[in-house]
Amino acid sequence: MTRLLSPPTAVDVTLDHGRAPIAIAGAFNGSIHPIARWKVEGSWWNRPVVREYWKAVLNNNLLCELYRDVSSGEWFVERVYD
Amino acid sequence: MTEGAPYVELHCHSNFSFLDGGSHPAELAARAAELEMPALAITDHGGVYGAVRHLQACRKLGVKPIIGSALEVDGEELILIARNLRGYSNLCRLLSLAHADQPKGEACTTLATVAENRGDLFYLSATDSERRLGDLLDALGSENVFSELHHHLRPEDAWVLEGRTAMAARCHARVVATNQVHYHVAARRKLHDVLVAIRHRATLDEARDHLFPNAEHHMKGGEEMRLLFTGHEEALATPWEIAQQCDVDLDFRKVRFPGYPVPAGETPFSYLYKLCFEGMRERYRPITSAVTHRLQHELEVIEKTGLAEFFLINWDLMRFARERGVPGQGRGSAADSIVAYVLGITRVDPIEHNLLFERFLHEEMTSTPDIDIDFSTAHREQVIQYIYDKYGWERTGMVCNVVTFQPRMAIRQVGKALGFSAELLDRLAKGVDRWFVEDVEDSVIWAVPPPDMRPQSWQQFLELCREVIEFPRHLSIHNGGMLVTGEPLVDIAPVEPATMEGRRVVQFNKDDVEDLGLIKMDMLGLRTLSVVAEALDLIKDTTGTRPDLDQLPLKDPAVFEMCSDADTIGVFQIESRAQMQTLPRTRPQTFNDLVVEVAIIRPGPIQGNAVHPYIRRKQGREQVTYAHPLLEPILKDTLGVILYQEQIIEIAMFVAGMKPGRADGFRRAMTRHLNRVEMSSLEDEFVSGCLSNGVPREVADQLFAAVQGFAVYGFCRSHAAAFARTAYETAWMKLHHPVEFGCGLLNNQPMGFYHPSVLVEDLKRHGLKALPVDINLSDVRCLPEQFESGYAMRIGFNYVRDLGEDGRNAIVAERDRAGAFASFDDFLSRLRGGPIGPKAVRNLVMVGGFDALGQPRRELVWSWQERWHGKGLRRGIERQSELGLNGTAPNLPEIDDFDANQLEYRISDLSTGHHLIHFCRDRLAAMGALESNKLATVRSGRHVRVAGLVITRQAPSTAKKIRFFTLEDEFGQVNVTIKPDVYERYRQVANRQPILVIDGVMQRQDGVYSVLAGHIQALDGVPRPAQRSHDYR
Repeated sequence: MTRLLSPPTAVDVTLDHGRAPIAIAGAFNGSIHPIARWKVEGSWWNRPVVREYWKAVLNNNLLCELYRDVSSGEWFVERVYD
Repeated sequence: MTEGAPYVELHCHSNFSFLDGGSHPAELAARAAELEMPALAITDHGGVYGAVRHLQACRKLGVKPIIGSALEVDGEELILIARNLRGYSNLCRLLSLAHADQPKGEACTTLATVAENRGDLFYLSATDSERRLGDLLDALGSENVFSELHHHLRPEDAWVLEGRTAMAARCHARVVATNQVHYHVAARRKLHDVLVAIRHRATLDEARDHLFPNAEHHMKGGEEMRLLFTGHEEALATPWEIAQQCDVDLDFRKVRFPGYPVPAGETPFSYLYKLCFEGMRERYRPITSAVTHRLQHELEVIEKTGLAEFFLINWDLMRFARERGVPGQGRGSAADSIVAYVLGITRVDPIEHNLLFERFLHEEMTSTPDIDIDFSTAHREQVIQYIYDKYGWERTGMVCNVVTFQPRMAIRQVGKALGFSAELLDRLAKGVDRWFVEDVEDSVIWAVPPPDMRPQSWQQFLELCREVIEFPRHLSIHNGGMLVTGEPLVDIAPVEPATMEGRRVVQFNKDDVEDLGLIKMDMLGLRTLSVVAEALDLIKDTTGTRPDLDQLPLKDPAVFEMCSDADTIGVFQIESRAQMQTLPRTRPQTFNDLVVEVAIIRPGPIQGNAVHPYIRRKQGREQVTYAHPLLEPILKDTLGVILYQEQIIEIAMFVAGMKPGRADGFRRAMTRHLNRVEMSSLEDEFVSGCLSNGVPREVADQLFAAVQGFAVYGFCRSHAAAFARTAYETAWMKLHHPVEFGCGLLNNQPMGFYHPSVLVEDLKRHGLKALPVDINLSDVRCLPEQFESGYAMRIGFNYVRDLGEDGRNAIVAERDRAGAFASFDDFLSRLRGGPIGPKAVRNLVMVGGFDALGQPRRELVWSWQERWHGKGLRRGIERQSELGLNGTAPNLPEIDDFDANQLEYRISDLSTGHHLIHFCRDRLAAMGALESNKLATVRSGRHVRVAGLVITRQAPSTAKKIRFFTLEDEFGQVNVTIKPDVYERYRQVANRQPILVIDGVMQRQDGVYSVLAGHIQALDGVPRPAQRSHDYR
């Protein structure tokens, strides 16, 4: 099952040298292994949304989607596959 | 796989993908150069519209240009890339087929058709269907088909990339990475989104599903692509591999002529030679040595440049026109040629008017000379059809015109995409200063954004409008450019069906065609020639003789007197405000003076003070001098002042000692924006040439400065001479046959500088009569009618709104068949079920068409509406008219003069009776506004109040935003000058109100006056006529 977190949960993220996330802390904790990355840049004419998404495995057992809000630099977990 | 191969973009849409590309070809090429791409393909949807610009931009930057296109094949996009010229021809043929049976601007085809036209093309497909990929490989050859891989950072892209790679491996297909580029930098994504929304006629919100989810379709360099395509190095190397095999140079000089069939035993040149000498014997009596020498010289140059067929084609065209009675004449630099003159292509004798052949053609010329021919607009179609028939449909097409975004369109369409209200956009668009297209933001700066609009939205809107200006919007047909080729056209350029039945448009515009080395024949429609032809026919009707304009001596003093008095409304080329302001100052007395007038009395030179030396010398206020005796023969006709392009060439030849080809090159170079080094090099060449000819250094320097100053404004003398001839002929007709000429003008609208009502007012001021529409006396067109001892102009049914061509013809045909209409009922009865709608019937009545039959207009309309309901009439329901309802009208008020005037303006757009201002005169008098005919006595510098109907608004781009308005009242016209600060203060009133009251200061010079506006107000309370002013840049 997939669970959308509304609102998304803010987390602190540690990045590797290639700017990929390797660990998160906060409501979700632990090391993460990124699987895929994509970018969403929408509604620029109205309420701009610019996010860099990552699909990653948390602590080797939980698949989740997190994103970085490019305008604020903040990270959020938006979806978990539990 | 090639390790370290450079990345090359092979899938790239420019803004010639029409509403699916956010960058100009030049921007894409520049970005490719920045990213160190050694090559770049252009692959616009359904065409190669931007190919020539792409080639030019890439070559300048050292990027190898590759030509291709994106085509819809069986519902999926296929990228086709030309390997060489043969591949390019196949691409053109295929694109032409794909457009052939599609709605305008759309193209699609089948794989079978693509396969039939295969050869020397690479095909890139982003299909996810294994079967489809297999079909492509089978049909087009596995060595030519590539599976296209993308990665635009969309959620699904990573696995689609892997899936497509695996599929390609199973099919034994090669893979190629592309970024499906739609804009050169990510910042242009917004504009691309807006264009997509415009394409879908939707707002951005509504078009959301059609937009890319991010800005990743920008051009990316090798490094960025390598990060996205890790593990797919082969796909990244393939584009360069393909690019290295592509080599397309679009140069069609060898196939530019279709070939002209000449009689047995003749070559094109020998035949041309023969025709020229025959023509010379017809036109010159006696034949002087100057004529034979000139002809011989020109023919030698034509032989050396291999242009005999080109002249034969044009000669043949004019021969056809003459045989069919189609009025036509060459314009432009072609009139510099005696060959063009003796062949009947032009009508100006280059010997008599001292015209220089080298401006038209010389041995070193690499491009084809221009022969632009004006044909009567009403007849031009016959000539075009003749060319199609003569050279075949497969070798003939019309040159396209790329319609680009301009401020109004940009504001409306960008604003709509952003979701702005229709009311706001209407206000913004109407407020745009249509005269200064470059100032989009200035144009809307006065507008206040709605209070609920975010400031960012307004800024975004302005920025997008600015960016989109000059973006191609769609294709249209060029006015007169026709392409005729030696090889089938579809091998050279894709062709598309035009809106007009049977007409085909080439995907290249006139500049592209020239750059490709092809021959374009310019057949322009000139309404003046239609006017002349019609007026000559009418003169024959009224006098029994049709004047032969070729035999008209160009020296009637009365014609020059009329021109000098600026009595030139309706006269070709010298009727504009600027002309009328200078004619009384220069007072032309010879044809040569008229040539000068046409050449220099233009807003640019006037505002640039370029003509003042000439005017001063013409008026005798300055002595005619020559800086050096060598200049006298060159500048004698223009009183020592450099005015013509030909003179610059002659100075370069005879004073600076340059050869003809170099002299023309020098002239062309001087008209361009040169940097200091380039200009200095030209100056050195010129001055040293002068010194070798014994011209003192000081004079050489002065001369170079003079040439430099006039090169920008310099006008082609032969073109001026050709136009001056028509100007003289129309002036002669206005003077001697004003009614016939006036009818010609009214029947060929829209044309010229003025609205038809201004032409009618001018006729009335000359003591002639314009007669209103009459159901039994009017014809389809305006015609002369015997009146008192002469002729008056009877307004035709073409000036009854809503009547239409069929309606006009039906009335006249019925009258011819069964005689005059006895009554309104008789008219209705005889034309029942015909092509005359109820609006037209009402207009015919209300404009006074039935006045002569005795019944008042309101009564007729009332009873017609009661008894003969328009809808029943239109549907031909006979019974309805026979119900016998009581049709007696109650007592209705009579139409008074003012009502009749208003009705005539509304229905016919003119007034045969009083001028509109006549009815405002009491109010204007109370306000202290002077009549136009009293301004002659107002001294310069005095404050004055003037008023009138605005008939022209003009803002020459060279006039530093100064506006020139012309007001008209019942006595004449008033010129008004409006400086930018005053205009900005009153722009809403000045732009929109039809009748203005203007306070200003009288300015006078040499009998010409203008009022310098200080305050502008509208005259309220007057019914608003339809928008009637003619506004110009």
